[in-house]
Amino acid sequence: MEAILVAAFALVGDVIMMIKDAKTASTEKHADIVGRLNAARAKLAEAADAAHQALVEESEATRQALDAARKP
Amino acid sequence: MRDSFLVAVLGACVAALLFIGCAPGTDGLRQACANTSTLLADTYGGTTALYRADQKALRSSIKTDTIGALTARAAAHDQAFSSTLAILDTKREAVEVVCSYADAIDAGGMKNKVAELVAQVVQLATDIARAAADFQKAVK
Repeated sequence: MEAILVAAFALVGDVIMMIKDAKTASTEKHADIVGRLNAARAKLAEAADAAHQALVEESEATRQALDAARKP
Repeated sequence: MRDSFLVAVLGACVAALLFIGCAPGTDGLRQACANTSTLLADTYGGTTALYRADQKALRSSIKTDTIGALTARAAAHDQAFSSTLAILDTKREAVEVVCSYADAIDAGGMKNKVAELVAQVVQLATDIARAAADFQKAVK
């Protein structure tokens, strides 16, 4: 009976450690993915701003070049 | 005694499965959002590079007798790029809304919403690719 109890507690201990390890691994994976998503969002914001800036700059440069070419 | 032990072990196993099983749901959504955000950023970058090259080519081909045609062409290309940016901006807002659901799911246990949201992100990715292809056609 005593041996069964010891074995049972050891098994429960192993299961608790497995839960702890699984939770730690899951938390680390979760943090990694959240970090990658935040990095992707930052890259997206930068790319969107650059696109709008390009529209203003390139369009204005073309307009000025065409205006200059029109002058006699 | 034996029954109590079995219940304790089973309970622990279920708890472990819940710990492991809950995370991939929102992680899958966050991963899909990260991939779509990267795709969207690359699409912004790609179309911008194309627009810059197109405008430089227009400016370098200015000749007095083609100013009228070039002016019209430049205006059309500006319009095409503006329309593409408007579409991408709309998709960006949608991506942000979908991505923000991950936190709500974690907080409220809305795990059943994950598959639906991932499908929405995939649809957004398809729309973004289509918008980029349309712009490429417009400037050719």
